[in-house]
Amino acid sequence: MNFREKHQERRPRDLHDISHLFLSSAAPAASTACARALVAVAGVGDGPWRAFTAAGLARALAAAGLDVTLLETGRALPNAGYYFALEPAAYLRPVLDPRAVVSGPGDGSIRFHYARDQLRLPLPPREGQVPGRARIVLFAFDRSAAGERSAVPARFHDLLCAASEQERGSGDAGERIARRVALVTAGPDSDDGYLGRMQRSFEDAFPGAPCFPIQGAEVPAGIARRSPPSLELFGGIAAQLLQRLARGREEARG
Amino acid sequence: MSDERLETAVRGGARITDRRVRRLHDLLCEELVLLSASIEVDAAPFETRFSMNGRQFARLSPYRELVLVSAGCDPVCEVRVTGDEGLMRALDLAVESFLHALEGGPPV
Repeated sequence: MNFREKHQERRPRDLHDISHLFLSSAAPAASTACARALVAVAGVGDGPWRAFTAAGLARALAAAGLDVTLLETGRALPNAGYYFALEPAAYLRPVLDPRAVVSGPGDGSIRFHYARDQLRLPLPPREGQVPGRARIVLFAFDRSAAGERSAVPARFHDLLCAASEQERGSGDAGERIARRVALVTAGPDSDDGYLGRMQRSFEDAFPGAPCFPIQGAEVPAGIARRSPPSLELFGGIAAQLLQRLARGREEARG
Repeated sequence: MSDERLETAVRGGARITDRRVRRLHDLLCEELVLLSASIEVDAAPFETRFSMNGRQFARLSPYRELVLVSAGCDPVCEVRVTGDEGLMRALDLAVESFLHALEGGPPV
C-alpha cells in the first residue's frame, strides 16, 4: 500500500465537511480571532519529510479557511521554503548564516518562518493575518531539534505558553489551549524506536492530545516539485486533525 | 567532524588553494551529506560523487580557485562555484536532484 492509498483509506470526510466544526464558535468574535490550535509536526526520517509534510498540511489547512502560521526548525535541507518556491538565495540563507531566519508568504493564507536554531523562531503575533479567521500554528521539526530524548522541542512549549498568555484576556485558561494540541509524525517506517519515544513524550506532556502518524515505506510522488503537496495527499489528515481539535475544544467548553 | 562520509568528501577539496572557495566547498559537502543518512559518498582522484538509492545526484570537481558542481544527468547542469551566489545555485540544483533521486524518478 503506498502513501496515497494508505491515507485515502483513512479519510473520513471531505476537508470542507469538517472545517466548519473547527471554525464555528459559540464564543464572541474577539475570542474567535485569538482562537488557536498548536500542531507539532515531527519529521521522523531524515530527508525532506519534515518540510514536505509541513508544507502539505499548511496548504490543506489554509484551503479549509484557516489562518496558518508555519514555524519550522531542523538542520537538514530542504525547508518548506523550497515547497513554497522561494528563491534559492532566500530559502538557503541559513547555509551561509546559521542565525538567519527565513520568512515568507506561503501558499494562500500561510505565514512561514524557518530557522536552524529553534530559539530564533519568532512567536506568532497576537493578531492573525486575516481578522476573525481561526488560527492554527504548525511547528515542524526533526530529530536534530528533538534531541536525544526524542522530546518535543522547547520552542513548542514556548509557543504554548505564549498562546496561553495571549488568550488569558479572552477568558481562556492554559489547560484549554492544551486541549487544542496535536502531534503529526511523518516519515518512513523506522525500527529504532524514535517514533514510539516521540509519541510517548508527547502523550506525557499533553495527556489525551491526538497523534496522527503518517508512516510509509514509499516516498510520496511529487516530493521534488517546487510547490506544496496536493490536497489529495494531506486533505484527509487535515480533516481528521480539525475534527479532533474541534472535539477537544467542545470538551474544554463543556 | 564525526561523519566518515563528510571527512571523505571534504578531503577532495585539498587541491583548492583559495581559502574562501575551500570553505564554500566544505559547506557544500556538509549540506549534501546532511540531506540523508543514506547518501553515499564516493571519492575519485579528481571529483567527489554523491549518490542516493544508487543514483548519482551531484558531482563536485575541485580546482585551484573554483568548484565545478554537476547535478542531474538529462541534461547535466554545471555551476561554477567561486562565491556565495554560485554556492546557492549549486546547492539548490543539488537539492532538487537529490529529491528526484529519492523519488526514484529520473534525476533533473
